[in-house]
Amino acid sequence: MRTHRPPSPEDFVGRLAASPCCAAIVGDEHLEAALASRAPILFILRGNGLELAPVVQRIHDAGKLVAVHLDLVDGLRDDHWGVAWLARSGVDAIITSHGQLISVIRDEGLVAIQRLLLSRRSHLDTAVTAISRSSPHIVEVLPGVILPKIAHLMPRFRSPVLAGGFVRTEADARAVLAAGAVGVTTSTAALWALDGG
Amino acid sequence: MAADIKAARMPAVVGRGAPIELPQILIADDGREPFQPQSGLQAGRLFRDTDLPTLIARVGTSAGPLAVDIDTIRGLQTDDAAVDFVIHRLGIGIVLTRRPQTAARVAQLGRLALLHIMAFDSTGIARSLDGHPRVAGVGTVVSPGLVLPYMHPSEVEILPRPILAYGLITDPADALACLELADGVVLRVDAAACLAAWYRGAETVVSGRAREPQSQSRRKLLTTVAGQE
Repeated sequence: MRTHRPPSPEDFVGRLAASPCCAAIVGDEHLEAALASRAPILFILRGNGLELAPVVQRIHDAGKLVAVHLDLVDGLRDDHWGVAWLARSGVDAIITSHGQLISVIRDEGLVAIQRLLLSRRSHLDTAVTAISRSSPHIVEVLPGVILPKIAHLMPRFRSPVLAGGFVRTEADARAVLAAGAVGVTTSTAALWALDGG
Repeated sequence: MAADIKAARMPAVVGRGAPIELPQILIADDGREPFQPQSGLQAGRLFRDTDLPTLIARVGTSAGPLAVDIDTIRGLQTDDAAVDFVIHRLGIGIVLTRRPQTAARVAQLGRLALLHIMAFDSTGIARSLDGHPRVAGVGTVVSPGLVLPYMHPSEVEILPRPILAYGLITDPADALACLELADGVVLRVDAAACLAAWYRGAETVVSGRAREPQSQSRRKLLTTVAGQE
């Protein structure tokens, strides 16, 4: 049963302004460090999706928000029932690469984050068209570290852009933010204290 | 534009030959524009995002090392029959694929297979490598190639060689940075032209002043370009 009220997309993005580095959690060992960090939002990219509710509660108790990657956690199918399950678990946002799930996530009152996987220039147009159609609250670009080098190839999205993947140094993070991202997702704990300045 | 299969000049059946070497540069050819070889670059040609008749027609007029991204050829399955066809009938020596079984078949036939791994984040690399056959003759395509210089050395070390950097490499400097770690890069024609021009300029600077230290891969490419002129 859900007692936590998810933030609006504007509030979610607002949390990033002061502290733009989000903690990407890819193992249990990351969770404690992330809870103690300045990271405003924890992105859960691994683990058992069926047993997330206690973890979500701990994250909320620490005053942080939580986004879960539906396509990557174990135990859940990436369909509308999987979305509903995560909503019941109390998460604030759901990440997926599947554009058809974005409206389902919105309907659950959660922040919808769609992943844009950058592989080739010729695939970019197709992906961008798909994102324009699905209209997520936030677009997460991977691998984010190359965003400064390909910014000239990217269209101007209506949604704010997060960048994740291989962002490991403060210089990488600053460059990504300077290229237009509102935030960075990283599993490098040293970056979780990065301020927005 | 689709080509007429009957009119296409199909190469004769090709037998098992010497081990295939990956060229440092593969220039992408999607069959839509007349292909422009880059003077000065000793490059191979990568057929991708086209259809089977066009592939056959283009192969018939090609020279130099040939590669195909087999999963992107419309009309072509990625099974053993398709692999046998591109290798034995078309004479293509390098096959890129996302399917480990297809890669294994290419290696079995004595040609070079390159298996795509998706390098979107550090954890994805390990997951992507799970299905790699890890046999001789099967290397790796890092996609997108532009990310290669940002990967940790330990992440590059675990990639079976040869390594081809493929995707979003538009700048000569990025191509060279990738070649420090990879055995080859895929470039569009415009980027290859830039690289050829850039290197012709670099060669003049280096021979004139002999100041800039050149890495082994840069020296090798530079020598290649100079030797063509």
